Amino acid sequence: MTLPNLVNVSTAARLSRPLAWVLTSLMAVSCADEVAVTSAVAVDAKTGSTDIAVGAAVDGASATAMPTFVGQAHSAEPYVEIAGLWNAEAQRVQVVVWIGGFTDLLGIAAHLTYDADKLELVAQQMLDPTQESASTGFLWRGLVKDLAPGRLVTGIARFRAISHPYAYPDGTDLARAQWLSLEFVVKSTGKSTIGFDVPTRLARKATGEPIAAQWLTAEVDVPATFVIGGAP
Amino acid sequence: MNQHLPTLLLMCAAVTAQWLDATAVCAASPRKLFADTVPLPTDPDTPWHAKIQAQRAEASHQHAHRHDPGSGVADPVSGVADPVSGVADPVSGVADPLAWYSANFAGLGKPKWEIIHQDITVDLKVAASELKTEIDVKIRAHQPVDSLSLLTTGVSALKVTQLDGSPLKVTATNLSGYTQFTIDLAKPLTPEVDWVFHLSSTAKLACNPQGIGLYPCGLGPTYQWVTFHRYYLTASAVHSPFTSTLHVIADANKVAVAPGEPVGNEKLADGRKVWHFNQIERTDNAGFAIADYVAALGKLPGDKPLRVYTTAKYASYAKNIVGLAEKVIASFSKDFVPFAWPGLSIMQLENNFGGGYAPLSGIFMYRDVFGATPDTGYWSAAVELTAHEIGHQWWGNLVEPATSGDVALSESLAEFSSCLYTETALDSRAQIIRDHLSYLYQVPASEDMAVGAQGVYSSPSYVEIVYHKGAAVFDMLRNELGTDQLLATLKQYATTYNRDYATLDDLRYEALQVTGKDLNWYWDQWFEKKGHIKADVAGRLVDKDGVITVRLRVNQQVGKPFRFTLPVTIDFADGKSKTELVEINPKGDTAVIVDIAVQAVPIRVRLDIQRRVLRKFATGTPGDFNLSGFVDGADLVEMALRYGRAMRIKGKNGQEYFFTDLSWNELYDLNPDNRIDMDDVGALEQWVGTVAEEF
Repeated sequence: MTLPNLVNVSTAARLSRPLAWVLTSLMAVSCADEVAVTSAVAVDAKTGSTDIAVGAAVDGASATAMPTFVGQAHSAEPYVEIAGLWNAEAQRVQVVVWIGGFTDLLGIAAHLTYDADKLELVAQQMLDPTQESASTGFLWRGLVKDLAPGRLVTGIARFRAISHPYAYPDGTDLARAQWLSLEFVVKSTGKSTIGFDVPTRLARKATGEPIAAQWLTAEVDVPATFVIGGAP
Repeated sequence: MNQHLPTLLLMCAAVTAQWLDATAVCAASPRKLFADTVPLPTDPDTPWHAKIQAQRAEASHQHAHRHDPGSGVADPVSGVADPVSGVADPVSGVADPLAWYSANFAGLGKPKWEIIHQDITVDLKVAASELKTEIDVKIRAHQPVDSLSLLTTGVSALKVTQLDGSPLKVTATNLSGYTQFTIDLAKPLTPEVDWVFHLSSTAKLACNPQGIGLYPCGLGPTYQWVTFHRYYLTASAVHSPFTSTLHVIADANKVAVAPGEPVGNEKLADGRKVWHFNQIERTDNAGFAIADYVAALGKLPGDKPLRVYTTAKYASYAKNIVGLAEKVIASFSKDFVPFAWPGLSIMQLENNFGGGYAPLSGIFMYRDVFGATPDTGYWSAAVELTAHEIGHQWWGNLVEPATSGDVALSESLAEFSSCLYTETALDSRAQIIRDHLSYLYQVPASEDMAVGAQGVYSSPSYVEIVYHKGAAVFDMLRNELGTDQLLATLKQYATTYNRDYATLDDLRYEALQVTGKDLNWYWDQWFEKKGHIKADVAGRLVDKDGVITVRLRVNQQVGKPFRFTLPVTIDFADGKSKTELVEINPKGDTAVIVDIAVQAVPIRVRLDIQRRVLRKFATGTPGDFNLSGFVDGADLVEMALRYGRAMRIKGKNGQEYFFTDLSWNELYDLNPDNRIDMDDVGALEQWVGTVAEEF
């Protein structure tokens, strides 16, 4: 539940433990940007997940300054993290929302907020945290949609493949999984925050019990020298 | 059908649609065993009975005046005003508002004549499916009377004579399965002088389910029983409850049981036995059963006896029912008024009975109940049924419905009492929620009637309307009065109308006296009007100068919207919740808007989470289940919690059946088919991003 007019998106969140993890040679990632994000975070997860931050500077110090992306890393579980990078080739900020450390998770939802003056959402996709299907008896259903500029409603929940009164909701344990991917183009220079509107953050077990989680934010910094609207 | 018949017939019980109770017939016997009408002696070891006998000897009908509540009329004996009964115990000198003589159907006034006592002998002929009945009927006229009109269940042979065997002039007619006969007296009865006549009759027993699917009797190899088949006589024009002695003839290796006090048995010349029962209270409802019964004994408050009769096979389980009945009676005695009768007999019947039947001081229940143990899942069903039937010892027996339009005073209150008990004892509202859903989802508009409608028993949905909706209506009164005030009202009601006939409106009046609240609107809406609340509900948050308010709109698109009190639960991110009772009083408008101030932005708003309102809600902003004002991911998570709930279930044969899903919440049935399934998830997804309109 939320009051959009109460939220100042640009100041909604502050990075508590920023650690820029700049990936160089992003160009070499080619077009498989989502794969790149996934693998980058996966590596991060393997190392115990410090901060997840992806910035970009193309080809050394001589290159034009590029936007950077810095996401908070979780310090407790369960958590919701925002990972991302600047894809210079696509000229987009590519973001994946990760969820981890959950027990008996039935569903999770929030309003994701960003500074609509600085970022424009151009692509969004729900991801399947556990790759379940009718054959496994469960399906994830998700939704993502603009509610207002800078405010995206999103949620994902685990449903049984069949609907029957004797089949009750059943949550799942998630060590670390993807919830949502987003792509933004930058509209103006400066820093902005991607985060979750506090009153809308919600995770529940199959019993209905709310799950307290660490909801983290990320910051996108578009240097003043960056050329807005550069062709991909 | 005679107006008072339905009331007489429906003094029974059912907790769920499967558990129904019945009506019945009656019969006759050629042989007369006990010509006199002197009550058989009571058990001298039972102090209560000794006291009652003493009271009976000393008290007379002129003591039997129920004073108006609070009338302050002085006790004619002691001269001391008693605000309730006004009558002091003639033995102890202490006013006892529930002593049998204190009311004794005073509200009936003095009819032209009444049945004082019946001495009844029944001989069940199983092979012939016949019941032979011999009755000595004591009549007392209060005015000169030259004819008497009486009813019994349809009989094939009827002989009515003077006690000395001389014939009486009788004309008999069949009346909807009953035999109504009129005795034309050669000379008028002398007022206040008792007159006794004798009746012999034979009735062919039809033990098939009748009416709403109930069995009036059973003639199986293990149990033989007669309940709703009314083998005794009732006055056809007026209520005339009577005391009785019942003598049941059974094979020597069997035991007969019946309501009232068992006062022994004796062997007959043919080797069979006759079992005697003494009903010292005035009633017009009885029954008996024969099987290889054994008794388990318990104690009720005041050292009154509790007897649980099971067949030998179930004897080891009987202690469970004894313990349960003791607890229920103690609970009701505290909630309402003390258990009024000299004792209680609970009797096991075969399974095809399908429910319970609760004449005064007796309860017949079906077999499976007696096999339940507290550690099994079936126990809750056993508790529900037992508590319902015990509830009738207050509602239906102590306070009797005056007309068929007041049957809620019996069945609805008994069911509500049971729900009240299980809510505490089982820590569950499952029973009352099932009752809500049963009415809401099983009663077609064409069969719906008002709970208080005269002739409501004629609806095919009688059980759902009177038992289920009726219980829900009483439960909803807790929203208006609070539980304590409702119980205080019922306590006062049972005191004022103990051993008397009462109407639903009498209960409204008692509520006014006790609580000061005028519930005319509630009675009109819920007892005199059919239907239930149907409303669209929408919510949004309003932030005005930093003050956050949950704003709700309840919109009833009906001609005359219901007024009700709605429990609203608001959940916050810190895990705390608050529930407020919000009055929805349309005052002619279809939509009501209410504001609830909150200290923080809530994570969801939920309505009536314990089903305390008889309603069907739909989302005014489709998909906005948490009433946030937006359709978003949180609504999807809420949907996941309710996914799979259904009020319809498909059987193996492909046919769909009503299914009582206690977690059902119709708000989520976006694609209305009484199932929350992928169609509803799909419908929700179409509404995602919707913002509630301003209101």
